[in-house]
Amino acid sequence: MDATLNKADDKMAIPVGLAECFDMDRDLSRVASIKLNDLPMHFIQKTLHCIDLPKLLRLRRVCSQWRTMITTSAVSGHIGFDITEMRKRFKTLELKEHLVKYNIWQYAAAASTIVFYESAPDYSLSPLFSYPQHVLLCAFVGQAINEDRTRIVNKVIFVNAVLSMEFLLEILQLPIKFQLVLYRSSIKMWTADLIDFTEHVPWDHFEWNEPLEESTLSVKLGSDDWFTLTSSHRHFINTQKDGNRTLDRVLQVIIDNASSLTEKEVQDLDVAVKDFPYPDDLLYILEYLLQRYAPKSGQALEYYIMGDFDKFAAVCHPLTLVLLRHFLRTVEQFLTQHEGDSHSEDCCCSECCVSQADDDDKWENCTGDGDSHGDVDVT
Amino acid sequence: MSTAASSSTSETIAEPGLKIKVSTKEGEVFELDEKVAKMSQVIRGILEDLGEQNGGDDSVLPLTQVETRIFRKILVWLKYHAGHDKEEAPKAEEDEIIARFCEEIPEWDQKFLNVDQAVILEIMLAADYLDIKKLRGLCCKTVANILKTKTVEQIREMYGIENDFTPEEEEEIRKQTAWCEDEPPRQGSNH
Repeated sequence: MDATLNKADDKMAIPVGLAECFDMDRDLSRVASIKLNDLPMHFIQKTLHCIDLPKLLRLRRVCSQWRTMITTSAVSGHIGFDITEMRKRFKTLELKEHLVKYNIWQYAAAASTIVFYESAPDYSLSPLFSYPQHVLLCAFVGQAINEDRTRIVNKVIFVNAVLSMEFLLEILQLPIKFQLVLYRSSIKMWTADLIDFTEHVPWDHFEWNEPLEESTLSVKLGSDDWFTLTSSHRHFINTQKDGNRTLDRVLQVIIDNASSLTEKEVQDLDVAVKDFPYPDDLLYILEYLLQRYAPKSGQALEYYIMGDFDKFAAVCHPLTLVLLRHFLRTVEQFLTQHEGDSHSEDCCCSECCVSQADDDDKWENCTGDGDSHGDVDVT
Repeated sequence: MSTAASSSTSETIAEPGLKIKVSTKEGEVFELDEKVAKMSQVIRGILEDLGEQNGGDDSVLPLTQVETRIFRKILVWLKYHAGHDKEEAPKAEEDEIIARFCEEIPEWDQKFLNVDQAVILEIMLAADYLDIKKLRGLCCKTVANILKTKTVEQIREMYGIENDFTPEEEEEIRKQTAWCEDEPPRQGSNH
């Protein structure tokens, strides 16, 4: 075996309890002959689980057995771990816990962009506004007028959201402006609203709607037809309402992918989420990553949704896995920092958190510099 | 059988309590403090099954899969941690994964496991048999740390693993993970 034990050098500083190991180790080294591949497979898997993902992926090249093992088991173990752990942590950042303060901007820190993910619109608080919309409005009403701080936020991105027309009109009437970007989102409106929308909305101030000028809006009529909208279609909508009763239904206006975001903004979406991570947005992030980096991953998303991480990992491009994990880690770091606001100033993470590593809560609550805690493996 | 060792000599265990006798594969008997013995979930389980009645008599718990030489080494670890660790509930599998994944190896344990890899693996097996999750996790992480410092070629050589990929296959894998193929430095490891 390659390992060496230079006891002579260490002898002067042998820690308490280890002095008796000196002869013991020497004798053991003489007789021990077991090799890693002699161990049962689950030991190897447990060991590989301890290796961060990029390094682990590198080891797929060792042999076909390791490749299979890492791809189908170890990698999924990593992902499974992250998802489990992240979901646990997301619970600590439920919006409802903070709603009473109406101060979502505290999470924005110095950020100028806030991203809302809305995987399952919840209208329990307001029949008109879903939960993120409600919080956003409350935050502005409660603080925008009184606190200059809000002005540092110059862009709010809604992702996978269904926004009500009422919400948008409320936003437009706010005294403090910010750019509202809808990404893969819908606007829900009734036909009557659509009339108001086209007749009364001050188009000149519709910052979020600028893509209209470039034909990036589509209108879905029921589930049948799609139209591409431009600003010139305002009249079209009106006249269609009069002449086509099928419009007496809920319409959805879909903004085309990324058309209102710059390329860099799209690329930075997974980073921007740290401004405001929202529960259960993993699916969106994953879908985004798959589309961008692994469009041929086929059923990966379905496997993920079903919770079959083995199959998920097997069909997923490694880069997607790593980016997903990178995202999770980014969120984790943010949450750790957030949770650590009440952390003792006396803590010196490189010491206390390591020496007391057995304390399950220690690493979760500690902010530190990040040196002693979960690492971000991809930069 | 002779009583080979007693944990009562440990400096770190102040309160003399119930003594538990265990025997190794070779039949050598060790007498352990209850706190030390119960760090093994296997021994803890046996004691609970027996209603903890064996401490006062001469019954010996057989650990038939653990060789004496490895048990002596593990005993050092058990004594130290029995005296230094906080009382904690046994970790669930998930907790163990988290701990293994996130925690650094404390300095004492690093030195304890600064041994030949084969010895680490034997300790790992024995810790698994005795159900000492923390020690098993430390062994896994130690081996993982060694693997991280090695190139793919070094790992093949170290473990006698045959490269069964065709050049094309290997190149394909290399391309897939080219962005993480920064080979580790070949120096600076103790292992």
